[in-house]
Amino acid sequence: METLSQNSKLTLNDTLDHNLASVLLPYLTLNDYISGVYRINKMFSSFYKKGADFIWKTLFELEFHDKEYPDHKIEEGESWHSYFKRSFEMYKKFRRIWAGIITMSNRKSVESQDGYLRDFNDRTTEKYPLFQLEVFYKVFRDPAQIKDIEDVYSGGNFYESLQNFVLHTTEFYEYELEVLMLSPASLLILQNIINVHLGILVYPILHTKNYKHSVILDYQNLFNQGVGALISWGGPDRSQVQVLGLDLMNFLEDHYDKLERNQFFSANSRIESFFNPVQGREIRQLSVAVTNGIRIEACAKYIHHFSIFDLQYHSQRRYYFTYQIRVMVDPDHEGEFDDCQLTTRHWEIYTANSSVPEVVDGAGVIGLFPHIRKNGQIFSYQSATYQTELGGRMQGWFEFKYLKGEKKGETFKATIEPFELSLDEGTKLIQNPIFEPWMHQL
Amino acid sequence: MSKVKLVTSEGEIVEVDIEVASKSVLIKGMIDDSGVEEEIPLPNVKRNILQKIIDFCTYIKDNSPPEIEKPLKSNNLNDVTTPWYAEFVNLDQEVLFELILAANYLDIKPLLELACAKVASLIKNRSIPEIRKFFNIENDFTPEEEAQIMEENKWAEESF
Repeated sequence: METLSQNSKLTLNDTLDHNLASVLLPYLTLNDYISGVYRINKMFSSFYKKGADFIWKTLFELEFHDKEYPDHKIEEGESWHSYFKRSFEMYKKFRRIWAGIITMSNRKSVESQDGYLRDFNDRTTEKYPLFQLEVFYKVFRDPAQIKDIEDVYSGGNFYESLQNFVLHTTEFYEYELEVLMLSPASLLILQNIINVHLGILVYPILHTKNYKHSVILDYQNLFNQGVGALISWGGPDRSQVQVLGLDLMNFLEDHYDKLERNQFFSANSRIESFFNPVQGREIRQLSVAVTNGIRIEACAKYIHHFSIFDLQYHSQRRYYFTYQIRVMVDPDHEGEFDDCQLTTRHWEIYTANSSVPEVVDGAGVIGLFPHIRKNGQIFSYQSATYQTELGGRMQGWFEFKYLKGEKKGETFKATIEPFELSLDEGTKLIQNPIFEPWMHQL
Repeated sequence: MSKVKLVTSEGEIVEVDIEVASKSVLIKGMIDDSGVEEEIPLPNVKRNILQKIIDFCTYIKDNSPPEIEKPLKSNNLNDVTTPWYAEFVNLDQEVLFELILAANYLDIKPLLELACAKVASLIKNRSIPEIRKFFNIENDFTPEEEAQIMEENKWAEESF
């Protein structure tokens, strides 16, 4: 306790000590801290350092719903200051990655998706059982701004009221598969639907629009792939699930990286799930070949929710793949290129471990006989196939006829190098531990 | 009702109802130990400050204490507590600080919290130069030190 002379005027600096600071500082928010209270002077700075760790505990409790989560907790011997700091840094990381995903996706798409990033100062969320999910929703903004779930149901077709971010699109035959990053309202709707039909509470974060398919975050580690693992399930057979990633942060970082290195095909003015070749990266489901200046790229994509696995219920396994074929004049081709036209296709489809392929010969591709000219355009089309095992491959050639030049009328075969019919790198299929045979009826 | 005698820093004796004075945990302890016959010296508490304290303790005898939610939602105490309490701490800085020190010494938690909340409301939403000016606080960081400490706290800021 200070004893002061009658003449000196008492100031805040004279009054405060660590004990009084511990009463005062909890009335201030993180934003007050950020705006610089910690550097008013050396005394204030010292209040926020290790001695006042409980202030950081208070700030943590204000910022996040729980003190610990199955995927995030304070370490033994760790200060609240350190725990708060790395927790808030995770929020910032999610924000940087999500903002980057939005920007890069919009850059390559004709249709811009806007309003999906929350302000830095707008961070309140509902309670979630996973830290990463809670933090992601501090960052993800729902453009529909749904306050009450009941509003969604009252409209009839609830897809119309909901707004979700399209990560990528896969189109083939009559199918258009849009993979959505779910808003908090959409998560609740889907959670409710799944709970009604399956009697379990899940946290879906991705969903294929209009299909009975979701990717859930495994907050209870039911699937034994780690807390928070991304588990893809749905379609006609739930006896197996596809593990897509370790956790939400990893998944988004991977998506960000792929966008950054232009790994998603986007010449159709939207992000598609088919891969582009990437310098220095081996992608087994992708092949590139150049013959006589014609470059043919082929990329296969496994569609989990079109596949069936359970031989106790189905006569045969079916691993379903869609593939995209892209035909163009090779950008590195020097000199003249004489226009040519695709006339026939020849495919050899190998099942894993078999040396005898299924052979398909036919005229044109999907009923078309495209002209290939040196005009920078890419002719692309999609088709699909399925196999009874993973790890097969497709290869073949397209025959072309020269339409111009010295060789007019002559034909040649442009190779399609083998590309694998297998799961994307880093994913795998596992038996669904919570599967029950009645789920086949869903 | 029985009264207890409190002696201010100026040497003045003030008689206070026991029930009111017992709002101070320190005073209550002394009464429990030695009874009310002895005068209780408060060498660090001036007369005017003691009067404010008596007013507060009298008020909370019959009213619920100010329960100010942490952290403050705004820098206006009228948004977070009753008009009486908000007005009670509408004081000159010097008086406010003396009140804090006295409430701390006498261990009167609701008063200490109210007064600190008032100080917090004066800090909140002010720029750092304004805070220094308002409270007459000297910035004792060198420019290098201040730059260093800002760098250490970059993790908290919006980065884009």
